[in-house]
Amino acid sequence: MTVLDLEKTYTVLNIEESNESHLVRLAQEGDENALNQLLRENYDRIFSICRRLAGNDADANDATQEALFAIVRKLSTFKGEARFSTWAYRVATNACLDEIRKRNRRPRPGLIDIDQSRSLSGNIRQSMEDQITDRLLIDEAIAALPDEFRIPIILRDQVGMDYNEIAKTLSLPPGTVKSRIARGRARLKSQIFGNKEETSNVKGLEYE
Amino acid sequence: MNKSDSFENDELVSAYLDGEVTEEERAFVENDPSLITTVNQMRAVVDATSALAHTDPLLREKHLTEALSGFKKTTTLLPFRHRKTVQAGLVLTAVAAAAASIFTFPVFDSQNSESDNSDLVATGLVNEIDNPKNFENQTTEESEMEIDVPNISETEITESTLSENKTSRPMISGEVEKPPLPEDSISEEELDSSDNSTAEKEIAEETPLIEASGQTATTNIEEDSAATSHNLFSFDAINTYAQEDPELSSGLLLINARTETLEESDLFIIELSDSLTELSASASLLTPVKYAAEWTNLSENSSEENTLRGPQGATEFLVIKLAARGIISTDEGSSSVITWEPTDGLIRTDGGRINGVYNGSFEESLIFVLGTDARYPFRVLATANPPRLTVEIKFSQ
Repeated sequence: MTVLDLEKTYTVLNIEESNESHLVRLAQEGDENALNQLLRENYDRIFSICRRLAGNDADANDATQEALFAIVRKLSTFKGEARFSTWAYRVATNACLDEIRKRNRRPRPGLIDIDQSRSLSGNIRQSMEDQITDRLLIDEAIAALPDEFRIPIILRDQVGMDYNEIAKTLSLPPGTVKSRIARGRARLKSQIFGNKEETSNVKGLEYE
Repeated sequence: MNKSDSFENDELVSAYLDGEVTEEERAFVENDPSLITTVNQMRAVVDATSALAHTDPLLREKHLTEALSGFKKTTTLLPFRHRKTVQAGLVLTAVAAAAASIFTFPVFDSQNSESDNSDLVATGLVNEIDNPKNFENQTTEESEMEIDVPNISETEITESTLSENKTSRPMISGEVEKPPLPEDSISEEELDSSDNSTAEKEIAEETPLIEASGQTATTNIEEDSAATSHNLFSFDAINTYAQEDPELSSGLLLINARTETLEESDLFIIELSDSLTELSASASLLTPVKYAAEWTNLSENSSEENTLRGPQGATEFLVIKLAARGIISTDEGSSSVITWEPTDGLIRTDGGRINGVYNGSFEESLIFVLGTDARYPFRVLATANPPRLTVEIKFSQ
C-alpha cells in the first residue's frame, strides 16, 4: 500500500465517520430521517447479533425490537467517543442479553431439549459432509450450541468485542471466555469437518 | 495427540485467530504445520459465525417502523420527569397462588356478584371521602410533560413508544366513577357559580383520561399529547377492571418489579410478559393489563384471617392489584417445570421514598403494597407492548 492509498483510505473513512456523526447529531436533535438512516444502515448487523445470540427466530424477533428501542432510548447518551455502529452494537447486545435472561426465567416448553439438540447436531454433521457451506445448517449448528459457548462466540465474531470486553459483559473471567470461545468453535469445527471426538454434548449453563 | 493436547491446540488457535496471543504463541502456531490445518479449519468456523444472519425485509421494516414510532413520541411526549437516580429492583420470579378472598379492600374486592362489586367500588369511594386527608392535598396540577428531555428513562420511552399503538395508549383510570369532591376541596368560585352538575363537569374536565370500563383509547398522537397533559396525580382509587371480570386472569406473567427515583416522585414499575409459551409469545396482547390501586390503611382493613402485609416502617400503603401472576421457571434437564407458589418479595429502595413493596400471593392476580410515610398523589400508567404497569407517586407538593 502506498502513501497515496493510505491517504485515500483515511479520507474515505473520514467522510464516512463525518457523515455518521452528522446523522447522529441530527438524530439527537430529533431528526427522524437521520435516525431512520442510522438504524437502517446498522439493522442487518443488529439483527444478526440478536439472531445469533437468541438462537431462534421468535426470540430474535423480540430481541431485535428491544435492541432498537434501546438504541433509540439511549441515543441522547451517545457521546461520539466511538463509532455509532460500535456503540449501537453494544447497546443491542445488552438489550438482547436482557431478553435472553428473561427468557431463561420463563418456562420454555416449545424449545428443543438436549436430546433433540444432539439429534440435530448429528443431522447437521451428516449434512455438512455433503455441503459444508450450507448456510442454513451452519445457522442451525450455531443455534444448537449451548448459551455458554454461543454467546461469547457471537460477542466476539458478530459484535467484535475482545476477550476482556466479553468478560465484563458476561461477568466471567477472561480465561473462561477464552476457553468457552475455543470449545464452542471446536464443536462447530467438529460438526463441519466431522471430528467425532469433539462432538460430545455439553449441557449448557444459563446466564443469569 | 491426546484429547488434552487437542483442546489446548484449539484454544491456542482460537485465541490466535482473535489476536489474543503473545508473540511467542503466535510464532509457535505459525511454525507448526499441524496447527496450520487447525487454523484453516477454525478460520472457516469464524467466517461462519461472523457472517450476517439472513434478514427478512418485511421484518426489518416492521422493526424499524416501531422503533421510529417510539422516537417520534419521545421527542414530543415525555410525561415523566428526569430520572435522578435509578434504584435497583428485585427480580421477581415467583407466582402468586392464594385466594383473592383475603383481600378485603373495597375497590379490589372480588368475592361478590357483579352488582355487589359495583356497590363495593362505591363503598371504597365513600371511604375515601370520609377521610378528608385523602383530599386535602389533592392537586390539580396540569401536566408533568416535558419536551426534549436529554436523558430519557426506560419508562419514558416505553410509555411513549407504546402509546403510539392505539390499543396500548396509557390507561390512567377505569371504571371508578369520580366521587363528588368534599366541600373543602371546592373553591368558593366554583361553589358560587355551579350547581352539582356543574361540579361534576369540572371534575370530568380535569380528568379526561378516565375511561369507560375495559375500553382503550383510540386517539391519535396529537390527542394523546393533549390527553397526557391532563394526566393528573390524584389520591383517588383507580380501578380498570370491568365489573364482569373482577378476577380476570390475563395470562400475563410477572417478570420484574423495580423502582426508579425521579426528582419529585418515585416510580414503581411492574414488568410483565405475555408469553407463557413460545406459541403465545408471537401474539402480543393488545390490551393493557387490568389493575386497581388505592391508598389504604392496612391495620384498619385487615383482619386476622384476611391479612395483607405491607413493608415495615411505613405508615401508609398504596395497594396495587393487577391481573397477572408471577411464575417460577425451572428448567430441569429437557423439561420445563412450571411452579405456582406464593412468595414474599420485599423490594428495597435505598435512597428512594417508597419504603418497600410486598408481593402478595395470588394465583389470578398480583398484589403489591407500596409503603410510604404519608399519602401522596399518584398516577398509574398501563401499557400493552411490552405489558407493563408503572405507578408514579409524587412526593413534592
